[in-house]
Amino acid sequence: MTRPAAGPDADSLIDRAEDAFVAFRGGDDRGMEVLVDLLTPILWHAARGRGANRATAEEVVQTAWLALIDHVEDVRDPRAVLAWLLTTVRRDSSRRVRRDQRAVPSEPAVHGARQQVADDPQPDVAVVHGDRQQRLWGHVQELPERCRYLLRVVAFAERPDYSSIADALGMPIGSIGPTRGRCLEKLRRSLDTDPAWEGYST
Amino acid sequence: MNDHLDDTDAVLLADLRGLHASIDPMPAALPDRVKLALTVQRLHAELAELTRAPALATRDEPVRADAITFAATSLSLMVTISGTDGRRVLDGWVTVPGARVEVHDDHGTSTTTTDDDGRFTVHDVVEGDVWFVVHPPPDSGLRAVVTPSVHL
Repeated sequence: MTRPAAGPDADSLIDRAEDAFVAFRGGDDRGMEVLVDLLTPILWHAARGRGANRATAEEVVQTAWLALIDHVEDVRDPRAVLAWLLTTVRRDSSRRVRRDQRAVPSEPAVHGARQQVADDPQPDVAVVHGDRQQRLWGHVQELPERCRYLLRVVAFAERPDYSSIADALGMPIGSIGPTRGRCLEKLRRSLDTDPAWEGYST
Repeated sequence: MNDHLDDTDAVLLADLRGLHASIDPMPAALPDRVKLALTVQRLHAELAELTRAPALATRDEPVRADAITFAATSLSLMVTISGTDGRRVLDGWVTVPGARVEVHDDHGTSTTTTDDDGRFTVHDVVEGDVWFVVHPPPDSGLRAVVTPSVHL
């Protein structure tokens, strides 16, 4: 993979992560600190979006970073470091969520989604700031689960990163169509039919 | 690029980012906890315990002179904090002479070595979160010690 030429997208999250990881491998410990600051937010949302509760999400994220140090040599392409971490977080979150669900004595009515809600209450209306966010939240919840997940995670990256992030989340662009062609487009269509949605300018 | 995202998509994604950041914020201390865990792992170090935290400065006592103490099995570290105007002077004492002490603040790392009595001084530490790594001399056979971060 090569970098896009200088331009508005030249410094994507993947580019910055690559630089920091290369510095770290070159012996600069500060590189790892930069990498942690850059990527921990997106990893947090990748774990939470898989249904991990807050404590589990913290553990999953921390474990992924520790695993990266043990596997530094396995990540041959430094551009792949975000994808490697995302894949690790996604798999570990899913595994732990399944395990926790098995561990909970199951009430027949409580299935995956409900369980997640019980563990992870819907955001308080007061927490969702303003009408605009509340309205957007309403439309997001109408989306299929995989779209909600994909959009939640890619929102924490930059545009040129989306296809590799989709890949790492187990939703390669080829299988779901271009991101925009499906998930984002769905959300836009849904917002466009909402007379109370005031457009996209913030 | 496979994705032909237009400017509206970009604004919408920024909105989504704001939405998720406000309804389900990452714990602010998570990156620091990760860095600490990585350092402990990398150095095969021991994580020290904070046994005495700095007291809050009071209005009647404009000059701060607080003490922090960390304890680990291989060594202990005691630090007295003074200085004002966003800059701190740290006077420290480690139970091991000739140990290399790293002071990490938000702007980088200062390194010094403890004298024969185990004392050290670091000037110009930036106010904010600070944590320490203590490397005992190699011939001591002691493990390195990493402290949790404290707010100065």
